[in-house]
Amino acid sequence: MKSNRFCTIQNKLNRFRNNLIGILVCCFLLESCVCQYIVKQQNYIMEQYRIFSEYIGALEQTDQDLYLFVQVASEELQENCKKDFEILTDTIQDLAQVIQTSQLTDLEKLTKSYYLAAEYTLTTHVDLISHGVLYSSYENTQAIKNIIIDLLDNYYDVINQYVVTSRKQLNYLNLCINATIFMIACVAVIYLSLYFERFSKGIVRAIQRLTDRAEKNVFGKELLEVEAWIEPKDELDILNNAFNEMLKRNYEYIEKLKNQAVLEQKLAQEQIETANLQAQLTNTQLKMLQARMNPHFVFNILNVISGLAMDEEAERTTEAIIRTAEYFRYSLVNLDKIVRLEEEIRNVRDYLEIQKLRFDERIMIDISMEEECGSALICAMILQPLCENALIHGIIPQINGGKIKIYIRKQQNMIEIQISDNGCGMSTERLHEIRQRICAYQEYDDNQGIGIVNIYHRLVLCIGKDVQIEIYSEKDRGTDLILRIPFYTKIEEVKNV
Amino acid sequence: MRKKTGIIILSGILFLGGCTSAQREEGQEPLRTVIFYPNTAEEEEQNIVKGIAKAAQEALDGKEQVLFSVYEIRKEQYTSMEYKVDAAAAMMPDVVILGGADPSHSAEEYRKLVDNEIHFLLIDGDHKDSGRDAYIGIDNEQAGEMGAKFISQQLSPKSKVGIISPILPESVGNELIPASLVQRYQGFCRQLEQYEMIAIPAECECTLDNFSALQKVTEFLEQNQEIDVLFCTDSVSGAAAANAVKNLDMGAQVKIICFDLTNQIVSGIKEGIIEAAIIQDTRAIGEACANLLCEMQDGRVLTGEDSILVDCQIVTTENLEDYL
Repeated sequence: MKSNRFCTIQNKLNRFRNNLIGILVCCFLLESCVCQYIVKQQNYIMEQYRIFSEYIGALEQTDQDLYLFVQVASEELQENCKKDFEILTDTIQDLAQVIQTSQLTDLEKLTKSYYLAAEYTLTTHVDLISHGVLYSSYENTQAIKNIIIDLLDNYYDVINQYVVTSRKQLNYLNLCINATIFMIACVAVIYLSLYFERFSKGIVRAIQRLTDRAEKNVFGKELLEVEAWIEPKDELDILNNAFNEMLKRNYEYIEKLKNQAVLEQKLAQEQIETANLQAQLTNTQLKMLQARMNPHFVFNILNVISGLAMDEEAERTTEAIIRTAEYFRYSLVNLDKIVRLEEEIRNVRDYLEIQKLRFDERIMIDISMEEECGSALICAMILQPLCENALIHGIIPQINGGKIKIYIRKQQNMIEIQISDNGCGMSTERLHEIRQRICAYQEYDDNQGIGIVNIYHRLVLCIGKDVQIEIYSEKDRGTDLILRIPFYTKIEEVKNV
Repeated sequence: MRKKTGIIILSGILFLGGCTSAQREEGQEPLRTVIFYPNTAEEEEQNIVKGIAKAAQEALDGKEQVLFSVYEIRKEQYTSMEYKVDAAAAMMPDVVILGGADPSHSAEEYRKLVDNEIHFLLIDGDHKDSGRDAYIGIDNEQAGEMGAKFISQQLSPKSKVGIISPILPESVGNELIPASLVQRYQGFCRQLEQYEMIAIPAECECTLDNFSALQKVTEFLEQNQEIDVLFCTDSVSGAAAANAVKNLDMGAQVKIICFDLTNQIVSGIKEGIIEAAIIQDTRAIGEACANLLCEMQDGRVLTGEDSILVDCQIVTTENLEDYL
């Protein structure tokens, strides 16, 4: 299991150094101990020669003392003999304890027999003081001593064999221990090498990676990925985390700047649009004012003409004058106002009836409106120009005339006004041009040329951007114009817009 | 309280167990065994007793129940039964293995061993009356018979055989006579009685010393020109006979049959001067000794009637390589 404990690089280096020193010290101590042990054991083995020599010396000394005792019996010599035997017994016991072979057990027994025989000699002298018995007893001890002397070569061989075998074993042990120490040292060195390599690689790799990332961040074109925060194990992890945090903050700041730039661009765009609309409104108002050319004079003239027509009993003329007057009145009164749709329809009907008087049967009119649509609010003088367009560009150019159909209905919260004619229609290019102008009405600050675009501009200015206009046309088949405006019945709703 | 009682009982069991095991260990003292062999010259290194001792030592290697001591002693000490017995008595072993000397002159020494409660096993020559615990080796009388049969069947049924032996039975009064030689001699003579056509015109008594043995055999051959087969009861006499025949250039006339496979005997066989050597398998005898000692330690009681016999073989030019 990997340890996630934080450890500084300095600590890691210290740990490595301590481990190295520890292993070296351990190996050195172990080797010293082994050397000491081997030397001690070798001395101990060689010591057996000395003990054996001591034994032989003691044997000779005992024999001499015993001989003296037999010659000149005295308590002092008796004591000497006893001491000699103690030495003899001790040395052979020491030897037999170390070299546990059957031969040395035999030597121990021989020594014991020698001692028993000698003890008898010593006792015999003290009790009997008989030289004959004494000499006989002494000869027995001599016989045993001679056997020991005769067999000494065998015992010497045994000790030699012990020394050779023990030294071989010791050398083998030494070899094994040294090999083990060497193995331990090798394993430790390999472990430390691997540890150090891993450690150094870890540092170098982390630094290289961080350097690469920093370089890419500064000079690179691609955005670097922000890595997840990791539990730091050393300073490099902290550095890596800090770098990632810095990167993250940079990205956040850049994103913030981008958003701000987009917002500012949007605001500037809106300001431009507002300015454009304002300019267009001013322009429209100016044009409307120009249209108000002395209306009272026109009405007076129309009244005079109407009176003449009635005097002459010209009914159609009278009707035409009345409808024209109605039309102008409506135009003058409501030019820049919001009106009910039913009033607008009435005005359109007036206009179309006037035109019908002019073109007679060539024009057919069909107006239908759902009842609830009449209360909807709309800008005044919107439908008349559209009908005028249909009449002038669609019906009149045709010899047989045509039909204008106005159909108004409510769809959800919208009022749909459809103005259709079966006139000569328009070319695809023209239709495309008109549609483009409607879509990009703001790019044109004049309303010259295409009345339908101006109508659309007025509606947007009065009622808002929810106004929709669609136009469909086909050459020699007619044109359909669909106008959708929000269904407002209160003037406040329109003002809020 | 219950815990304390448990500990006391457990301690008691362990104590008793320890005592029992200690007693058992004390009761299993290893069997101390001693064997002596003579320090022969290099050319005679294939000494029988030495071979047996080494084989037994190898067989007992690692078996702690037997402490086996092998002693090389001087030749004159080895031939003295008194010396070997005194040494063994001073060492106080459980068992001593003795190469056979003439038992009729070693009764006192054998008794000394019995008095000291030392078991003894005989090899290279048996004597049941000695009080030995067991004999391990070949049947020497049978080996002698084998020699007689070989002469009758393989050489000539009308041979005139001269017997060469270091000490002949007729010269008793010397304790240096090995029992095995006597037995071989007796077995040979007994078997030869069955072959009427084979005669023994003369016998030669030589010594264990090579040089004097050669002299004696040479003289014997010069004096007994009619002899065409020499039956030698041991390797020393066999080697002396081979050298004498060679020196006298009598190889075509005299065939030699002897015992044991020393280097000199091997040379003689290779040269074709020695016709055959009857040998005992020292390795098999040594292993038999080792097994018997282990069995004794395991409680086998020997009655004095036990004999573990190992077959002897005849080595000739044809099969010599098998035994080298």
